[in-house]
Amino acid sequence: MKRRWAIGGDAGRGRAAMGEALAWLDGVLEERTCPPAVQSALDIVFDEILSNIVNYSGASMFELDVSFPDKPAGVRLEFVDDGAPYDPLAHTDPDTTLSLEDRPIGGLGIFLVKKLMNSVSYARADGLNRLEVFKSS
Amino acid sequence: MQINKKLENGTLSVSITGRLDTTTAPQLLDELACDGVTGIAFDLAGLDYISSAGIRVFLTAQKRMSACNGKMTIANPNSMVKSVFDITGCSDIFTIL
Repeated sequence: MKRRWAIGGDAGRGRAAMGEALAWLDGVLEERTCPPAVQSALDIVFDEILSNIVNYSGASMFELDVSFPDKPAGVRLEFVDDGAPYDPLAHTDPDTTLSLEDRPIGGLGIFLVKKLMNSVSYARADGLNRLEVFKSS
Repeated sequence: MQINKKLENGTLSVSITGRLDTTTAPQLLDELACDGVTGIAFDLAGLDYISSAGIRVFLTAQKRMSACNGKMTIANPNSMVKSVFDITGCSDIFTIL
């Protein structure tokens, strides 16, 4: 299942499209009676990845591609956008053992994605960012 | 997301229902900006999930409370919310009931 949203490089339009895209993703997952814990994990990942794309990448569109492989069984979700090249996996993981005083407020999103998914991969090709995640069910 | 809050004797009781993500986190942050708050008691029984945008709101609230020797508690997170707190190291920072 694949769908594309045009956002014209506009963050406001992008955020509105995020609402539509989340409803679409939830619909697809519910149709396949995806376990609630898997769906919540994917919804969190959706929020982390797409908020970066719509707020910072300048993309004119993003696309979601959801599939349900058998072996291993689970959900594969691919995020595609035509914004600035950005490899979220290139980030250093934040130090989650720091005390409250020493802890920066940001930097947790991608870390959360890596921890909640079984696999995460990034590729840049033909002017597109492609981030693929897999969550077993 | 739905937020119910009540201020009593300086303690702000806040119950959150729904999803706490990039879209809804700013709303929660606005609701927490109250004068005369010396403690915050969150009830997350109705919270489905939380993303890092929501975590940032809790960290901000905790920093504010710590700065004024106030107390912040978080009650009833579901297993998904609890695991996000665990992964991000927040379980060691927050007082989770």
